[in-house]
Amino acid sequence: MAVLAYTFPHKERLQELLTAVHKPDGVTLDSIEFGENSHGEPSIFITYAVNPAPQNDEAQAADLLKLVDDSLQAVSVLNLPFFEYIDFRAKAA
Amino acid sequence: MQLLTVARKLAIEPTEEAFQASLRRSLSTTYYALFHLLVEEAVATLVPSTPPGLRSRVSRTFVHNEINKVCGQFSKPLNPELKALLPAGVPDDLRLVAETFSQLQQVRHRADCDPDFVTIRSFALLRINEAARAFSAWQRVRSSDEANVFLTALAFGARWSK
Repeated sequence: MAVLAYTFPHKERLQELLTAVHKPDGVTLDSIEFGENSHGEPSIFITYAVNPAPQNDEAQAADLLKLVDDSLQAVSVLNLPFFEYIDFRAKAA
Repeated sequence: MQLLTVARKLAIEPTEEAFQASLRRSLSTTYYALFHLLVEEAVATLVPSTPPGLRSRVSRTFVHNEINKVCGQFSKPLNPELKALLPAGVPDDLRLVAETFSQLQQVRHRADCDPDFVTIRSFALLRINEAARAFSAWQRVRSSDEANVFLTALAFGARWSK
């Protein structure tokens, strides 16, 4: 993704909305960035940092799917004319 | 659905010497499972079954970017052109299919094109579950008028506002 180097309107509101979303244990909001998706269209990239759960990947996947849903639901109230992407990165072990 | 099975196998049983590569292929395959489902459905709805090869030929004309734009339109408040065709709005199941497509496409792009992309098994499983849920949602909504508009838009969406 190409990240545009300026603070976009609504970032603080997005931060508030996403902070209020329930997160599974070991998951934190990592970043909210405005940029372009793979087709050059304006997009918001929301990334969560996740502690890997090697004992139960399926359970973690289910928790993260709920987080994707809850995050998209939370940001939908703003009706922003952008694509919104929910992504994850693994925290260093 | 076969592609989703392949994606799950890649995620659950990655080759030890190519762990990251297997997970990346899993993510990419997950996206293509949904992409091909929608293209097949659109072609089956819009294109005659004869002569042999016609549908296959048309299938190759679908453009990833255009499908994503249509999915964006169905995930957000409708524009006037679509609102006229969808007076009852977008059913939740169809919205879920559209949202999932956009999410998976972006993930696929990173998995296939970003040399620094690193992932873990649960992220791949998450995307497979996301796609499987979209498949189920599509089965529930596929016979609706709204689905017909969606499939038609996948083919003609780039020229929708003319």
